[in-house]
Amino acid sequence: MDAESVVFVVDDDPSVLKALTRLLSGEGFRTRPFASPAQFLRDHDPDVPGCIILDFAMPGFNGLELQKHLGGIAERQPIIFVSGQSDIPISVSAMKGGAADFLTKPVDAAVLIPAVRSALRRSAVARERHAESELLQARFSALTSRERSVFELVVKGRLNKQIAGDLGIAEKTVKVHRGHVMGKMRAQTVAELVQMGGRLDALKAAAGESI
Amino acid sequence: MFDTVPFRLGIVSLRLLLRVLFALATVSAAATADTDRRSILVLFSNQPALPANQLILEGLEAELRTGPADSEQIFYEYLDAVRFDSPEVQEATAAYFRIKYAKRPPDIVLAVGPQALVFIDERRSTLFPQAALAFAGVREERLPLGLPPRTPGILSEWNPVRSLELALKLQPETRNIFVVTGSSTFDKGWERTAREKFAPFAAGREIIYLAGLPLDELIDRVRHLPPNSIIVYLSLFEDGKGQQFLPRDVAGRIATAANAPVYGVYDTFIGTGIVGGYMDTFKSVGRQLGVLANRLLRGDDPGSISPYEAETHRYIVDWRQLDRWSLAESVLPPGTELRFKPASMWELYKTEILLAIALILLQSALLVKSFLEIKRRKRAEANARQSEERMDVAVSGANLGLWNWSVRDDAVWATEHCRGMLGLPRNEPLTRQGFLQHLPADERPGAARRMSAAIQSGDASEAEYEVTRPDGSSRWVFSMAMPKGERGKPDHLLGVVLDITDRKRAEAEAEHQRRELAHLTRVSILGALSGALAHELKQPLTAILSNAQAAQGLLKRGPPDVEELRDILADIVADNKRAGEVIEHLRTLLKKDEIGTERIDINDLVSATLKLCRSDLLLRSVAISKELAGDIPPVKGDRVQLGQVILNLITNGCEAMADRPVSSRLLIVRTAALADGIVSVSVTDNGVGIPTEMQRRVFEPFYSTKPLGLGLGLSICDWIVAAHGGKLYAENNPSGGATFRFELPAASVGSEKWMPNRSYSSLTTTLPY
Repeated sequence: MDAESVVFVVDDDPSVLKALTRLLSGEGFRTRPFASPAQFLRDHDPDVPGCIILDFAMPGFNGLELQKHLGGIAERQPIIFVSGQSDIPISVSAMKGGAADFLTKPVDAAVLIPAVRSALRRSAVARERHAESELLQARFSALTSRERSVFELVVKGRLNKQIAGDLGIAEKTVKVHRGHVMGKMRAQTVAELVQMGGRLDALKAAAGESI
Repeated sequence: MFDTVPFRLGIVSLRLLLRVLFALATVSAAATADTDRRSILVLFSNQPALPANQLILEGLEAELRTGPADSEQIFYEYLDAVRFDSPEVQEATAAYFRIKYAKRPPDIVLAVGPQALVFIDERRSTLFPQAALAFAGVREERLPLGLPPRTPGILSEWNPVRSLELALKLQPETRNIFVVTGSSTFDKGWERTAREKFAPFAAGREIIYLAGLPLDELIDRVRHLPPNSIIVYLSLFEDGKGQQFLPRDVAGRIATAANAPVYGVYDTFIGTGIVGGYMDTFKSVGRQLGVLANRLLRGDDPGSISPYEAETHRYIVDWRQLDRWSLAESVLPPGTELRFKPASMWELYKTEILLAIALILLQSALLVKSFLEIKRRKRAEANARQSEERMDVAVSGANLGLWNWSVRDDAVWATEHCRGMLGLPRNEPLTRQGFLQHLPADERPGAARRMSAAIQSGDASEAEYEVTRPDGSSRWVFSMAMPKGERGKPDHLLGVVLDITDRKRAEAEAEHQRRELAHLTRVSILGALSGALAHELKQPLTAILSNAQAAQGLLKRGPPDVEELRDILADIVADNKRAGEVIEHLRTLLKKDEIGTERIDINDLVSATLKLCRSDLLLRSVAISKELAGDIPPVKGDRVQLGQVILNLITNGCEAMADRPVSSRLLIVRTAALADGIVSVSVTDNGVGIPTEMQRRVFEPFYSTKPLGLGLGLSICDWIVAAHGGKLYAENNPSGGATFRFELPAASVGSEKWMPNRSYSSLTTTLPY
């Protein structure tokens, strides 16, 4: 487990908040308590690695709304919902919305601690992926528009000659652009470049969805 | 040939003639069509949603229908000039009108309100130059300066001075006059008018202008005005924060919140809670404008009609507000239109009352007749015993028993039916002692005392008690004793005994069922709340478990920090107590209690109930605004039952808002100390409101608008409140949603105002359980 990771605990019931943080700190986790969802939204740092333990029913927010509100952040800081009710439809929509876990109160430490551990692992993986995609996107944005066209056609499996025909340029020029693309994207092989193209497409689609 | 020429000429001229005639016919046909299809453009200053515009339109259309206008040829435009008052917008609108009506320019333009009149007047040469102009809804002082003096129009008079005079007539003790206006140009015009016209009224009074405040702040201000205040609300299209409103909605909000009566100048405000004023009725303004338009359509010369005042304004007052603020109807100026006055008993039931009087007269006549007959027969019949038998039959037929106690010889005489009813031995002489013997032991001393007291005082006495008959069965009787004697000196007691067992049983049965039902509703409400209550319990349980496991971890990891352990244990104890309280609360709610008579602080009770359903409210995403009166006297009654009423009203309010967007689900719970020692609790939602046709029925048992409702909640609430000597009201709010409010008498020190037993028996007459 990453020593930097923080468990954010959000519960408007002060005694529950205190008890949960106490339990988690005792187990060696770094914790940060928040007494209200509003305080959480105001002071919370989305770039810190970690996970969020969120009381489901609090004044001003219901858990699902907060989850929606956090959007993509919830992937890097997975949410463990803690609810007084074991309401199946609610827990289903929470899980569908990407929650790491849905636990019912009172929560046994034997359930909570492993849930937190697995959420933190998920956080680490998601952060890694996030960093990778950011890098990939940064490299992609360094391409010129001509290089991008060449990149897209290469990924589609077109041959140099065909690309030259498609773009109305000389095959020689295509080769030069292709070399630049491989260099800028740090791709060793065409297979690797194709894989990168797939990742970028998926990221684009995800961004389109979230808009 | 000679004669052919003229013949030819004849043909030519005939053709020509025909052609000319044809042409003439076409022209005259076109001319008729033109007068038939003259078009009217009605230009409103404001937006279509303004209630005033709707009323004007209603009146105008009704009148135009009676005239020559073709409804196809009437066009409506709305400047919405209060919200869009920039010159650019106005210019663009004019340009738009020019294009839109280029092909069919209106023959008559009717301008409604000052902005529309100014708009047209400023552009007479370029916009509809051929049209005749008429206007309505404009005060004389707001006529544009350049308006040709002979422009036909209906002058309105929303007279703030006469409205204020009305207010001062109704409330001569007024010391503070609060004048409310908004911050749109139109609103500011009103403020200027008021500052100028109200100045003479400042002598001995203070006039405070609440102009251009943010609405929230305004509402807050009017909630706490000093005594002897009135509010004159003129107009608020826009508040200090630039938010826009319909002035009528604002009237409702002010009137609801204010602790002083509100007066106004627009009749659309009547019904929102304002008392009244001197005002134009918008519908009649519309009608008069229609009359004017019809005159123009029929060809009256516009130049012959000057602006004039039609019979459109008068004093209008909301009777319910007079009643609410205890203002005297008698001082109203003659000719005042009184709205919402409930019809009197006489007006409502004229026929029934007349019929009842006729029946009583008829009955009396019959009685006199039969009385005379009896007298005649009595004379004829020598045998007194016979008559006694007859009376016995008559009274026992009515289930009455008669007895007579002669004080002098201590002898009790009783009819057969009376003896049967009380379980007295038949055919046996009785003394008072023997007579009293039939009563239950604990009733005897009281009855003996009552008999003696009646003889001594000469006043009748009455009592209800249960008797056990020799066969072991028991009956309830009502007994009344009247002392009789010569010259006001009683020497015997005449008694009537009525068997009321059936009524008593019905009452007891009803009471039993009522208690069962109350229990049932409580259980069903709690069933609905159980999820939320479980949550309430799970909070402390979660804290306890986590704390305990934290302590275990602490111990496992080596020598524990004793301070930390002590802290943990203290937290566990506190949460344990908290869980206990939740359970205790639940238990008292579920208890099948008789009505208690504790003194209750209603504010405490409201807070406790809100706390109980806190999680339920969260789950339903309902925001709560708690407005508790600071100084409120205690009430006397049953904490659990009253709590149940509050809980029920809250649950109902939440359910009514279930279909509203989350952001607007607001429930206001308010307590107030009213005059005459009355305490009121109200729950206001902004949900769907109560459909008008159901307003009468909401308190009826088994009546429900909810698909799964049992229809008992509100009827039980109504019963509980009635049993506490109070009353439950339901009404729709002017701004949407409904308010349920109950009033209870404050617990008066020493005197026993509240008598639950009375209320129990009234149950049988009010609720058909």
